[in-house]
Amino acid sequence: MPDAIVTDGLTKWYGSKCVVKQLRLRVPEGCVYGFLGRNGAGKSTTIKMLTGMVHPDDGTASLLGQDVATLPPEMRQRIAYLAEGHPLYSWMTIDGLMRFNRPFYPAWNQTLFDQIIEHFQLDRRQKIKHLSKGQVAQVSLALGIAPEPELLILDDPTLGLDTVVRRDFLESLIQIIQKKGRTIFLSSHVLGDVERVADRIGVMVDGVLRVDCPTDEFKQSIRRVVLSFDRLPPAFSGCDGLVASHVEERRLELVIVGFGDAHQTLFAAMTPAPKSIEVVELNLEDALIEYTRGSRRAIPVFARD
Amino acid sequence: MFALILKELRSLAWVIALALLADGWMLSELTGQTHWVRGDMELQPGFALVQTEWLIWFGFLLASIASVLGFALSLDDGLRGTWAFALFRPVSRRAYIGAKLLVGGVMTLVLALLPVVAYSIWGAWPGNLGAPFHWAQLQPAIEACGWSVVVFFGTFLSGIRPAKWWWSRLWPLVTTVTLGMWL
Repeated sequence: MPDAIVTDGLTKWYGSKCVVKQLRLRVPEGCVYGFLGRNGAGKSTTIKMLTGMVHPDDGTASLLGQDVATLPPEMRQRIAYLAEGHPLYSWMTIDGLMRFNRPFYPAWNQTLFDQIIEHFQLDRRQKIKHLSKGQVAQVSLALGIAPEPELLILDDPTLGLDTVVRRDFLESLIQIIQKKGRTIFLSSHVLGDVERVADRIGVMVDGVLRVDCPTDEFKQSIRRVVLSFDRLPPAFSGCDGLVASHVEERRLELVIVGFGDAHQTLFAAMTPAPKSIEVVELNLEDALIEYTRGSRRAIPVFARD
Repeated sequence: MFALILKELRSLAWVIALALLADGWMLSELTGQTHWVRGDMELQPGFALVQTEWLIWFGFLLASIASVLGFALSLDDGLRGTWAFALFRPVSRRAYIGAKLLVGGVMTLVLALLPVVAYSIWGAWPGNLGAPFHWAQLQPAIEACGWSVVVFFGTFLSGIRPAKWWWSRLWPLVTTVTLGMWL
């Protein structure tokens, strides 16, 4: 399957700080890719480089096989980009925005646009400046989807939305994904949102892509291991894949990437031997928090394929 | 391109409305209906737009309109944060900026010429001026209108040009205004 998004050695410096380092990313066509990371990890800068809003200092990026640096208008007809905060012309009405956008897209699907606006119960005569944040996001989604794009790039689309609106927005997104096998590249800080829609994730840590694998694989690769002892736990010198460790009374809690038999053997051979070994599965949010906040967080997780 | 032109025109509605009010006021001053500018100024008989005092006032009005149009068109997307939305439309950046320049340039010229044309028609009407009216008298005013378009481009460049210091950012505007005054 060809790749919808390809980056090779993509790098960006802001002053003396390297915010994106040698990013090498491949997003296959038809994939819903969740792009995660903490604030300042380099997600938005990456997206800005992908959409040509920021010029990279090094490396290349291509969308649907076309170099971003020379992305012609005809290619942008096939790509939708929902920027962070959904910047739209506040003085325009919903209908005005639709009339402004429509001539640019030969494949504009008016029926689909009308359906989305009706679904969200938006008043077409309302000016954007009079809409709530959630409603602006809904208009932005309708404008992004109506041209029937092959690739959607969404930069934290649910930022600032309340839980109900966020859920509604994502359910609409899921319906849209289910309708067509289009590629969606979604950055978000709400991990539950990504878990619901993404079949593959990438995690940026300090400008470096540390995780790039199917969502389930990431969840399965990270485990919290709780070793219980009769007395204070012994000093733990570390093991392969260790992301974080801390002692709590008679328990030693470890977060490990790629937990397996070798770890079981190592723990069983500890002196004193642990009374019990409990291996806990983590949801995506917990897994990511543990992964990104640990002092040894540079351990990469990449797809086995 | 038509959608872009229409969008820029609509975004400028408030500037155009203000400029039309300013034009109307200038016209009423030139025709002697109001006396805010004139004050105690000795009014010489004949066509006002060949007299230095009036040309300075007229030039000030044109430069103001051109500057507001230039800044409104160049800073609008930056202040509203809509560059990301605008520049990802399937249209080249050259076309997007070109539409702004075209609309701004034409509107500056139209808004500059409106009071000149209206005042000329009024002046050509027998009995309105205390001296004969010749179309050649329009030359300084027409030159001022042309200069206002240059000021618009200078202001637009000042607004769109990224620069760390405001002074270096403003140099295109300062240059065009100074050049016009010197000429």
